[in-house]
Amino acid sequence: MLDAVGTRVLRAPKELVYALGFMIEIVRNIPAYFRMQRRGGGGGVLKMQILFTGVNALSIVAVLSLAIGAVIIIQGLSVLPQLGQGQLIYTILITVITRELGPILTAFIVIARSGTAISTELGNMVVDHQIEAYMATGLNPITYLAVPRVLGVVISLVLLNIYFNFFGLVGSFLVTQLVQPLALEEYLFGLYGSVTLTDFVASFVKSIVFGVLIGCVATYQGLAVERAGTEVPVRAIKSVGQGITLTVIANAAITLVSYL
Amino acid sequence: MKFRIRFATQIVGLFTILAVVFVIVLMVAIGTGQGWFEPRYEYSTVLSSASGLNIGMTVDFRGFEVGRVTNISLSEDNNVNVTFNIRERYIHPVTKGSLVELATNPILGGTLVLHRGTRSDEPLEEFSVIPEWNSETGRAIRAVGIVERSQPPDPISTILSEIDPLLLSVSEILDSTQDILGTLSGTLDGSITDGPIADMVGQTLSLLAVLEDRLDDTEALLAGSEELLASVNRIADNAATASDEFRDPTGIVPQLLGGSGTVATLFDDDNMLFDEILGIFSSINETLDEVSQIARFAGAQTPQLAAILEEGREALIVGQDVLTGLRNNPLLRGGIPERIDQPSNVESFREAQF
Amino acid sequence: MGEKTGTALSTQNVIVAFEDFTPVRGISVDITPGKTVAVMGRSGSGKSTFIKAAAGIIPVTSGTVRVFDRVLGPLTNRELLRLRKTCGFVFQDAALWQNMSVYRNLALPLEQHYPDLTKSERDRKIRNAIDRIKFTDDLNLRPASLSAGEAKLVAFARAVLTEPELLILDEPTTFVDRTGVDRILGFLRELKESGTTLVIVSHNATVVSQLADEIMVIDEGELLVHGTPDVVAGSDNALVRDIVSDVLDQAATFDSDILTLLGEIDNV
Repeated sequence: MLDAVGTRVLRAPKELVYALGFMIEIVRNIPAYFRMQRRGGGGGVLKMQILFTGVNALSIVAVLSLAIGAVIIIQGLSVLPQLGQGQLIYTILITVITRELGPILTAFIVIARSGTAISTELGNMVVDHQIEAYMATGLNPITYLAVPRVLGVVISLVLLNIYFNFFGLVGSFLVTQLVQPLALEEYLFGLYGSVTLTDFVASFVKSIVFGVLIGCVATYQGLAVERAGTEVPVRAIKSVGQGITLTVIANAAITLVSYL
Repeated sequence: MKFRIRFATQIVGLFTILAVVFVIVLMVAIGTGQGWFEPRYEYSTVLSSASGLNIGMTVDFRGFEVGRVTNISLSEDNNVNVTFNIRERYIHPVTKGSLVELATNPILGGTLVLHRGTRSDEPLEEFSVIPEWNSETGRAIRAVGIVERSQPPDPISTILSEIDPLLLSVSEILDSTQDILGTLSGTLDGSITDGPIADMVGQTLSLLAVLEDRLDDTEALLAGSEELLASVNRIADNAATASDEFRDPTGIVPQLLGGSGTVATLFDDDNMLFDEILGIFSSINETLDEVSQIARFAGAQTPQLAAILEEGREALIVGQDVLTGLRNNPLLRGGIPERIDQPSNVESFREAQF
Repeated sequence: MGEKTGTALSTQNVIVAFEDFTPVRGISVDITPGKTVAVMGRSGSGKSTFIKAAAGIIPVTSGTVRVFDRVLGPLTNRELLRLRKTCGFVFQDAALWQNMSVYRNLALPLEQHYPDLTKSERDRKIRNAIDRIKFTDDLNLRPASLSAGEAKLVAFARAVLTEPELLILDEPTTFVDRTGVDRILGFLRELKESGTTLVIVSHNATVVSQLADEIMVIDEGELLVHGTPDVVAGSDNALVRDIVSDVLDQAATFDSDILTLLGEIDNV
């Protein structure tokens, strides 16, 4: 028992350093990936990653953000005017949708859908020696496998966040029409008045950071499979757990920094 | 699924382009709405305190955001230098005679309210100093009447901005009224024998004496005396009402000084309290007018008159104390929590729609 | 392939240790260019790990590996790429890339090592390789839809396409049916004749007896013996004799068959 705990504690920093090294390695290999892309290599991994992570997640993101946007606006309309603060609805909408839920919910969706998928795929590739085959062919698995997946996750996340905002802000307006008609000009006017450039930048930065974290965690866990197929689901679960933890921590950190 | 994979490139392209277009449209729309691409002109002002003020605070003109506060600093002479910018399209109210006023309220933060100058239509030169509403320059400009007051953007700020100068001037009026009354009653008492009022009263008394002598033998004297007495009675009634108002334990004044919930009444009743208080004072003023008129004819009744006036003066002192207390009341100054329980009576179209 | 000096593959006291076990415990061996070496041993003897370490796929814990006198270790990307072109590897379980078509599986190494090749040149090379292994299925199929034997053949073609000077094969004939073995055997013989150094891990007596110039026997992560089949056969180690006996038996039996096989190959 003591032994086990001790071993774990001693291994934790080592693994952390290794994981950080992995992350740096990925970033370092991004130019190599683009060089390869320019040569016509790469085999469209990035494109497929965006297709699977971004496009295929669009429907769930749309449904989620529509519903959440509508709920916020309806709740806001029922409570805020009682306090004489009807104007605050826009600030709340922007804060909740653009700054917080947009980045983090899309991140969660991507972790659940693509984080696991990436870990499982890479894990299986390790198990049946496909990774070694890449190495034997002279293809750096980091450049060829990890980088496009991380980039795909980052790009998808940024785009999904934009769609989340679109459906959350514009879509929720349409839903509101059913409950409490509101002129579009007025809605937009209210949004103009409340949104700031910082909101956009914070949201954008969050998506990029979350994307890097999720992508790196998923590829790291996938490639961390050593031999057995049984390791694959274990790593996939770890990828989800770590992805969510890191995303939430990063979210808190960025929110904190953006209000300083 | 097959379709998606075959047209992966096109789908991903579309996915990306739509998102980028949305962002660009949104950015341009919001940017235009907020005037990101619009030139801005910088002005500054000097305030006595930066409390409630913050960078990024909006500059408001008739409910429009016309600019933002860009910098706040404390100068060496302990004033607060505030720089702010005004968007090009809203530059026209910034003219000679324009003033700014910090309208803060504890719930919504606040804004810097711009008051339009009426001297000319020519915009003020950039980097000029726009004086603060209550500063000396501001008062001078107001005295000349080349500024047009605009309402602060929300009712709470309006009330707060109205109350302060009002209380101040009420208190000043009370002070001077008290002085005058003191002098007047002293003079009438005979304890003050010089000064313009004493002279006037003295002259009046001698005039009255002459008049009395003159009328001594006429029948008109009787009628005149009766009339005089009726007038004096009326004055006494007025004064008594005034002092009763202040002393009545169930009256407005003690209520005002009572526990929580009472301040709300102040706003709830459409300024009835203030109207009432002001009404009382104006009736006292009227009374005093009458007093001075009557005094010319009422040499004989001088001691009674002095007593009545003394009573009125005491009432006024109590009133002044009440109002000073009200003015210093932290509940009123720090925030009006009861206020938010009230249904909004804002006329803003946004509020009304929600 | 020209004259080569030194060794094609040289290992010095190579140790590979994982967290929980050490499959390779100090193997030193020199392989002369152009030779075909069969690596034999019981299952779990560490031979697969050893050849992967020798090919630079698994990092060595200690010791040095030289491929054509270049030390595997801290190499730049360019050096590594050159090394990969020099040294091909065929995995036991084919290890085709499942996420791409058979065609892409073959084209990718070519793109990697011959970036200047035009598409038609590349296609011609691929067609050539495919013909040599007699692969007749649709190239646009995914590897998952191939049989294990076909997959192995494709993997073999993939490794050979880039014309490596040293080809390391991990059990090239497992999962492959008799005709498949024959095709591979023929192909390997061609490579051998063209001067390619072959390191083959195999239990297949036919392959070993017909191709091997030298035999290495590994057990428990250590090299028991390395030498010509005769030398190995003469070993006084019972385990070694046990392992290679099959091979030596078959070598005698199949001597006559070789001629037949050669005839077959000529017909290809």
